Amino acid sequence: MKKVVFSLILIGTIIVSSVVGYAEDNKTAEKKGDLGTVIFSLNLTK
Amino acid sequence: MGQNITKPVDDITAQLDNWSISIRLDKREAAATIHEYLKSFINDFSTDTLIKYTLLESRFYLMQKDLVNSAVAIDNAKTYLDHFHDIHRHYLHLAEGILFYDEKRYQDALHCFEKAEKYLNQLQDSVEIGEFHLRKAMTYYFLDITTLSALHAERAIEALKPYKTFEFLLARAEMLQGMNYMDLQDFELSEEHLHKALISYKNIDNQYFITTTNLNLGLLYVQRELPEAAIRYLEEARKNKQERIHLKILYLLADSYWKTNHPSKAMEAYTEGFQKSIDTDDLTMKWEFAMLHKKFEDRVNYESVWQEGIEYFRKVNDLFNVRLYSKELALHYTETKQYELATRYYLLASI
Repeated sequence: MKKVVFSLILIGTIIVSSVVGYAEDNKTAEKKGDLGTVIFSLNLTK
Repeated sequence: MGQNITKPVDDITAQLDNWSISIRLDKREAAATIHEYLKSFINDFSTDTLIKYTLLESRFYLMQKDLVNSAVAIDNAKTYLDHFHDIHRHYLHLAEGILFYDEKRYQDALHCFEKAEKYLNQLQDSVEIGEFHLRKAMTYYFLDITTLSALHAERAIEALKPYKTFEFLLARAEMLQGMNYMDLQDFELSEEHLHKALISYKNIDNQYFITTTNLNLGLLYVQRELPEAAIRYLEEARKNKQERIHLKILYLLADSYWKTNHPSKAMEAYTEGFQKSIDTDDLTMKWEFAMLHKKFEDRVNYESVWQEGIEYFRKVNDLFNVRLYSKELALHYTETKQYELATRYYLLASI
């Protein structure tokens, strides 16, 4: 019984770690809307 | 002789101030002239002046979208790191963050903005503080950390609101807040902020951002399942053929036309967008167009193409699209009672 519980916790930890690790590597989150560039120019036309 | 030594120093300080103002107001010709003038005195600069000069130079090149020389200027500034004051450190990390953001390396950009924030209390100018919060909020937005983005956008709005001259920046903060409320599913507040932004952009006659806001309003109505209203704003946005966002406009238009039972108009927007994504080698948009087409026109290949598309988004770490398309595919598998596949895609939708 103890072995089963331990295995479940281990599997759960591995899944959570891999998901968290993956999320931290986020580089390109492309959303459908747009904010313009982060270079602010008051008269920006393009 | 004393006059000969002191006059250029005063002049250089004044020119650095003028340069900074020209850069912030996007006076490109004036900024370029002052840059040339200052460059000719570079060998006479004190270390402090040299640090100010190189940090401003990185902003000057950013203004011209010359990212390579902007990075070179940052590297030059770093050679004087031992002589930096806190305010120099703020500008250094800010410039690094802007560069990473421009390359869509949002996590790296955030780290730089966090470093810059440590020295934010050194700034006196409310507008600069507002600009900083706006940049950080934009970065959180693309990292899908919506609540923190909304918090910083609110601080930007508060800082920028009293300054009519900087209505452009206020409009950008309002637009961002509209996008945040859209992600938080508070569509009424989203609409309110987006319309405030649109009014400001019209006040200052900024066509570029009028188009951007029309796209964002189109997206809002797509999410509210009001495709007819979405089409009105998206068709308006489409007119300006704004290169950077044209594919996004065509994608939402095709989606809205299919939903309102106008398949020929949908196919027209889809065909233009799909072809353009191939021509410009935009693989993400190519997959998105292909998946959209399978959803509405080619149901036989719907599941397989969506699975492949989601795999592509995983490969390139486009987690936003992994979540977005996995959620929809999971719902489809639930409806068709394919529960194992539904579980797999619900898990992917939650990463």
